[in-house]
Amino acid sequence: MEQLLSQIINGVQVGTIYALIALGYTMVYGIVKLINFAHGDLIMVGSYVAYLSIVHYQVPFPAAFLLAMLVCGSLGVLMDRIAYKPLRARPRLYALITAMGVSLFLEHGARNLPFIGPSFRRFPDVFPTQNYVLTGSVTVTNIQLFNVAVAVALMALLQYVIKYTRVGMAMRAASQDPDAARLMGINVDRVIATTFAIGGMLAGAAGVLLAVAYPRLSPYMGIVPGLKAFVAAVFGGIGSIPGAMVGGLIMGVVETLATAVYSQVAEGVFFVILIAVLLFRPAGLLGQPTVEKA
Amino acid sequence: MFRNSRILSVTLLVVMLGTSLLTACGGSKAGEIKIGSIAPLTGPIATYGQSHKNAVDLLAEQINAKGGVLGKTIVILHEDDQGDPVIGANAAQKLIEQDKVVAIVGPIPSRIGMAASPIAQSAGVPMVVTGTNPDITPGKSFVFRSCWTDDFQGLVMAKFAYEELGARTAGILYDLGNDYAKSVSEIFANTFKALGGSITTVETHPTDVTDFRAQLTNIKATSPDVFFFPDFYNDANLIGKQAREVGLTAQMLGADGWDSPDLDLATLDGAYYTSHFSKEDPRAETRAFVSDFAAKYGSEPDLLAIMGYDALLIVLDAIKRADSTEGAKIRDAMAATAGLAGAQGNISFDENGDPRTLPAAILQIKGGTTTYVMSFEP
Repeated sequence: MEQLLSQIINGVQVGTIYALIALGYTMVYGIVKLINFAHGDLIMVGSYVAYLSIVHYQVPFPAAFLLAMLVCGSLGVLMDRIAYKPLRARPRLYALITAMGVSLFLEHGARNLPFIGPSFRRFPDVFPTQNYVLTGSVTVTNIQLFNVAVAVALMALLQYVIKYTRVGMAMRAASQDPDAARLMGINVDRVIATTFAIGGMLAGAAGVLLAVAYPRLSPYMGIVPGLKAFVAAVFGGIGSIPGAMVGGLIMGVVETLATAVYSQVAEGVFFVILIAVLLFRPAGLLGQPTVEKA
Repeated sequence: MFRNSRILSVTLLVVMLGTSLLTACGGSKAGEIKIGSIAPLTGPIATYGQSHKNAVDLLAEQINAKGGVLGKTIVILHEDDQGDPVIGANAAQKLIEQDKVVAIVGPIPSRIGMAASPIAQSAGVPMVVTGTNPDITPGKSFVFRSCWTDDFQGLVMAKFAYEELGARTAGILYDLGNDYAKSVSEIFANTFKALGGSITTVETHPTDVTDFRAQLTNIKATSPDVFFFPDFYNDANLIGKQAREVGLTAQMLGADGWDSPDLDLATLDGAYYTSHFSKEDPRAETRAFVSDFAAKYGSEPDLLAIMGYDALLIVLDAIKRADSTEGAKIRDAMAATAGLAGAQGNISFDENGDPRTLPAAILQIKGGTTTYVMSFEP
């Protein structure tokens, strides 16, 4: 029982990071119907921004965290401007392939930058690890608490922005029907840019959280978490914001429990569940079933 | 515009073909002996490759300063495998077919040795690997090794844990996609059980993951005396840190894959691991190697350096005794290597091409450095 509780705590920590990343996928998809495969690489950029500013410029950790979010937010907007916006009127497949290109560009670009380079780097210990005993053998660390708290705070903030602000209302309108939104006087291009900015900022935050929990940086570090978060977004219902949060959390917990039961097949278990869910609910757990327009 | 780009691409094609023909026809210059080296110069295990390269360059420089081998200059061609078996196999192909090297030192990790050694074997080019998985050399007459194997390392660590540390129970975690970690773990487990100990749990993880808490929580629940995780140093750093976080307090044990300047000595404080040499070894050859290396590079050599050094030493010794740069003749001379005074110890090959004569050292991480604990003779 105690072990199960420990494993669930482990799972929640990974799950909240997946959820943050999945939000970026799902928000962009909700508005421009694009799977932004380069989203995972923003995580890597976020980690390196924090790493470089802490190690080389002695920036305090909270400032480095905000800087990583800002850089990734801007990079998200830039990505859209340069790579996706010119293709907006073309078939969706074009933008999808471009997204893969952007992803490769970021990975190999980082690999060839002298201050990033191909070798692994170790993220500095920003705060010393401390263990707190919950009950019996169940413990949590200050890093786990920090990660979950920051992730939950960011998600709550996002919910607020989307539900109660004009920007959020414009985003919801644009995702329901971009053409009608445009007729209502909403600047859809600006809404799309905002979406990329928010998604990028969340990815940057996820990158720093990942680096704090798993202090090993490489130019390819975003691929695996990015992929898993994408699957989590599909599982939760791509385009649905609560779906991405729930999907990420379930993904993290299921993956951890499966690993705990039998580590040799753990990676596959989640995909089996994904297929099962998609068989019965093709739009995902919380996704809206879509009807093809005639 | 279209015409221009077509002309451009034709020109590019001609230039590319031209240069590849030039390199292909290059061959060996009269006064040179070309030897290939395959190592991970970049990527997740880059410190292995850099150490290997530094040591190989050091020996080539020393030999060339004394007039080379057979009156010819030794030229080392370095290939970067990035820690990837596919790139490593391609590198072997390139060194053999394009560069026409007479022998190859490396690759380093076992999984890359597994991929590249059949290519050297079928081309008849002698290769000296530094991977420790026992399955690399058997049945391959052209493939040799410059270090002991995982049978020995797993055995030594199990014996040390049982006899010296008094451990009776052990938990294991290893990378399922890593031939090296898998074989060391299995041999450790079998030896430990044969001695009378028991293995509480064996957990695995896929390559390229960063979260090991689920497995570590399981291991913690079985409260073993020792916790053995023979992964490469980058994974070992993360596993050690997370083991402390989940409150796993068992004595940590590792293997030679830990040996790296990037090992997190603070996190792994108190852990023991197996190595191929100790810096305190009084042997003249070891002392000379350590001081020459430090003089040239300003840092102490690690074990990847010493294995690379001995690998090239084996090749050069064989070329000298064969008095030829022909693959088959070098091979025959190499197989007959007996009592060659290497930096790790005296090297003689068994029928598989493994040196069964080298000792293993146990090192402990303490206070930000590694200290020598004891040696095991084969």
